[in-house]
Amino acid sequence: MTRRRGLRLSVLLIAAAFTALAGLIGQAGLAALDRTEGWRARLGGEMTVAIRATEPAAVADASVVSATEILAGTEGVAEVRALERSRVAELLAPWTAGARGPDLAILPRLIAVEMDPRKPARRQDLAEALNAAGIDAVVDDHQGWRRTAADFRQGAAVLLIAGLMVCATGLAAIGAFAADQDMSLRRSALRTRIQLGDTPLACFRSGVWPSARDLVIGVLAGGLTAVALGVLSGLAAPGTDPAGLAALAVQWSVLVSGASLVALVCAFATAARKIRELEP
Amino acid sequence: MDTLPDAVAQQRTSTALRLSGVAAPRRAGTPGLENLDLELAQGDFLLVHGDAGAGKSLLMGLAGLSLKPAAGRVEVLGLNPWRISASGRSRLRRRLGLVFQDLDLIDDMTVFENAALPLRIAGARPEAYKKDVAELLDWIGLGQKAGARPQDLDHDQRQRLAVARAVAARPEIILADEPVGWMGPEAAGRVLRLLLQLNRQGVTLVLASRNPDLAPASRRLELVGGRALPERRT
Repeated sequence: MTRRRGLRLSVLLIAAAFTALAGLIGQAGLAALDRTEGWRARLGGEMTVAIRATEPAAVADASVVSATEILAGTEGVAEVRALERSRVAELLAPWTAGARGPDLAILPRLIAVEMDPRKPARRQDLAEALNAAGIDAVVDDHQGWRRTAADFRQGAAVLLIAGLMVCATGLAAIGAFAADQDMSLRRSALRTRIQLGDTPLACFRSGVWPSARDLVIGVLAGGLTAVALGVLSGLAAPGTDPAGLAALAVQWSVLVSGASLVALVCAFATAARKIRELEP
Repeated sequence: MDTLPDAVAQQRTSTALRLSGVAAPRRAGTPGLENLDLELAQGDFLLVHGDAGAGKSLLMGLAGLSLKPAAGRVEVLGLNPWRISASGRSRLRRRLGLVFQDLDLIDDMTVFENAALPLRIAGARPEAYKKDVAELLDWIGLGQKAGARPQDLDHDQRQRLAVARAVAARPEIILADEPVGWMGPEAAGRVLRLLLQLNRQGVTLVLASRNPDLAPASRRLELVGGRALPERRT
């Protein structure tokens, strides 16, 4: 294998690898952002009412029935759902871990309250309605959970940006390397052309074209690999929905154009510098 | 755009090459050039001679714009090449025909493409120069090798190709550094006849060689250790 062919192949593969990595990071990051946003939105539209645990359990059951009726009649509430004891045990398992066979009777009872999205009830409205009926309950408007979801979202965004920056740096480096190596291999021919009166721009074009072509081919291959891996791994699941396919096509175009832009700008800048060096 | 009056244009272009107090930086093993003055009119024929390392190639580099002077002023065809834009310098270089000592042929190109390169750079269409370049290669004895690569030629043939490339675009000044050093007597005679014929047609010719009797030049300049001895004119 000649040095030039080996160089071209390595440039192509590295550009493809960085683009594929950027694509996968992008898809994973977007999926994480979507999911955390979904959590946040769902938590924002719901509240949880906890009826304090009492002995005997029948008292709590009666409180749950009345609380459900009161809540259902409160303005701004769309739906009220009392959770089964077993479901409550399941939900609270992380906090009761280690207690073998938790005594379900002493667990609080939970009521999921879905708000009317047009005019949602406030936390105070629910608390006041329950207090007025003498029910000992705590209303959780999920603010803490929403904060946690927002923190997750921020973390995912930071990781996404950092990952993309690493890939962009890699693409910039391979662009600069490709142009540097290609111009070095053609240095003698380019110097001769300049001596014979070729313009720096014409030399630049003929000198940088092979690297640019290899970089673009690598980026396209990397983009396709990223989409294929994304679909196979379930990160990108466009289905047969035209909107999903269009979104995937847009993501792919953004990935390929962004990666090409970064690699080519660095290749062009390096080539221009090398051409300038050829002039005495 | 206004054109210059003929007299001014004539005055502008009558000096082909002017070096005033020029110095060139030292290179490995050579002392460099010091305080060189030289003026060539259009159509002059100068033979620069001297021993190896005397500074002949530095002088050719300065005149051929492949080297920037460390001091002094260079003027080629009425222009200071180092005071004009890069594209202006490129246009000026197209008016020169250069035979480099190390030939600098492009290995990726065929013999024909190498010979035609100055014409291609000047923007000529292949159909316009194809016949002329083929004739030139025939005349110089490389017609059969037009499709070969420079690395397939022997040094004599490579040198002839470098000369063909230098004259292909009908330059106003030809600068040839040891143009026939590796050629046999017959090929050398043929190449020198070509260069002399171009000189008789008004092309300024500068040859650099270790051989002081290389060609019947009207002006001779001997370099010794980077300094010019008094010029001889015949």
